[in-house]
Amino acid sequence: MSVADSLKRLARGWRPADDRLLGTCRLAAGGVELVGEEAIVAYFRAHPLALGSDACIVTAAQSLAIFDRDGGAALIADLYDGHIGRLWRIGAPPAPAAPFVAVAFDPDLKQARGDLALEPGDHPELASGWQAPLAAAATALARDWRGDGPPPHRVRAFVLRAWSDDDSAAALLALATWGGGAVRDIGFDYAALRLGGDGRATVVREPPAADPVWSPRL
Amino acid sequence: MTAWDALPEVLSPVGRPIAAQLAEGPRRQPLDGFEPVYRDIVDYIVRCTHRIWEQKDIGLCRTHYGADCQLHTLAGPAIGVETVVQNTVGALATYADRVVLGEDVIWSEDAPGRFYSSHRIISQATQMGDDAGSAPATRRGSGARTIADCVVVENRIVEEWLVRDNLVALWQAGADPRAVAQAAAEVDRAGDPGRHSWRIEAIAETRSGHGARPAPDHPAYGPAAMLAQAFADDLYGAAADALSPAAEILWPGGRHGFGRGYWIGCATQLRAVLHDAAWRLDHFAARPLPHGDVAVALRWSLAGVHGGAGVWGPPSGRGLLVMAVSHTRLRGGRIVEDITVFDEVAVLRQIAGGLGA
Repeated sequence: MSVADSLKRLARGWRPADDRLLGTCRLAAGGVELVGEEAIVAYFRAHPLALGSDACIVTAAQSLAIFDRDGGAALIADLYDGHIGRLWRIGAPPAPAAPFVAVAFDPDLKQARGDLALEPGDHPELASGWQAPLAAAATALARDWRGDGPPPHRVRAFVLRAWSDDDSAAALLALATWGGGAVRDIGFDYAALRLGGDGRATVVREPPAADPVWSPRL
Repeated sequence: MTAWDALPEVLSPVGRPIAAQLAEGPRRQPLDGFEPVYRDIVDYIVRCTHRIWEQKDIGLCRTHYGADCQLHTLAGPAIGVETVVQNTVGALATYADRVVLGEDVIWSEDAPGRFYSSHRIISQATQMGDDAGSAPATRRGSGARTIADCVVVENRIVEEWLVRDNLVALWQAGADPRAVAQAAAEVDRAGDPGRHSWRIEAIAETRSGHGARPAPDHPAYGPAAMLAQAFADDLYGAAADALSPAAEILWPGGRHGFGRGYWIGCATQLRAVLHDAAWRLDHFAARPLPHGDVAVALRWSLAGVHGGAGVWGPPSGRGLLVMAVSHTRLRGGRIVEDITVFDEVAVLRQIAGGLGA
């Protein structure tokens, strides 16, 4: 069974039949992070995701992405010799947020702001021909980002994973957003991006968190 | 001292199923005085943890810890193998289903036969028994990140530094970290204050400036310089150049973000409240990772006077100590991931007047 098929089974809530899913695997979904096979399987049993045979797969030795056909969900995996070391489910309904210490930060470190943080050297499996189109699509994603409320004050995109296969490229992004309005909701949202050979971009993004909190103190 | 990239057959746990990690076989590394079952120092750490915590053979601590082993946490030191045994039995009585998910073991051989390991774990369990630190049995799940740094000689851990994200652990237990810290501080203030002298000594040691110094050609040089530039020189922008522009940052208390600015935010959040700060690198190690990446482990200390309002509340004027371990992943010489752990509840305990003068 291919890794993609194992991942599809897992997404339906079925425990992988082999050791594809590493015991230390971490899953980010709906704004929370789960660790370990049991927690991840339990999550998908509670929140199954059906990815059919028509789902779009972008795969390389170290990364795998599965985009459902209607663009509403994506699974992204870090791979180690066919074992799944880390997972992101993009498009999942938001979960109740765990407490955290908020951190004040500057995403730019300069006035000549950049919409995109992309270091090609971080992504050895991204063919050079895909770098410019992916950067353009990720930049457009940041510039066009909209939440539920007024237009955001600031959005910056960080390319965390990017790779390509014979006819497509994929990327996992974290978007740092400062919401519009007098009080700015601040946080990171994941998004998945796929570029096809025809130049079309598919974007899957996380729904806004239900109840954003901001507490930079204990 | 063994080169950081020697013995490539001694593999990191990263990317390997636990069954493969625990497969028995021949030695992959000279280990004089170690039990024959251990194939290398990584296997020693992973396997003995599995035997003690998951197979429940806690008595193996007596053959895996030195009789007078020293244990260091930010809540105070402990000495002796019987303390280890008792604490382990107590933990398993509370968290009986504890599973130790070992994320990485970054090691060095600092002198012939003297190994240093930095073991990053997430220990998952259900709080089924009463916990002295937080509350009666909650039946809640826990899974805080811990890094255990150990000196190992001839099958025995002779010294250990343990840092755990106790803030997250208490949140997971449904407890109030400030209340727990306050209660612990009240206990600390009773009895012989001399038992807390270790903290003053540790602060003095941090201020001594005599720390570890990786050579410029060692992978730890860049990550160590980053921390030094930030905490010793306040050159945060220069420090963050060591990071990839999209680096992932995981610090305790659920701090999770991306990019150089976020790392600077984590550093300045601490530095802003710690006046007259001093920073020291206590140990470093590095090992190869899959896909050509490199793992670096840095144990470091930060001391200062709680002189500013901020993350830890109004300034208390107390001298504070932070004991931390950072695990960074390098790709192409740049940091693409920084996982840092320290016990922030023990910091709150100091602020509340605990752990000595």
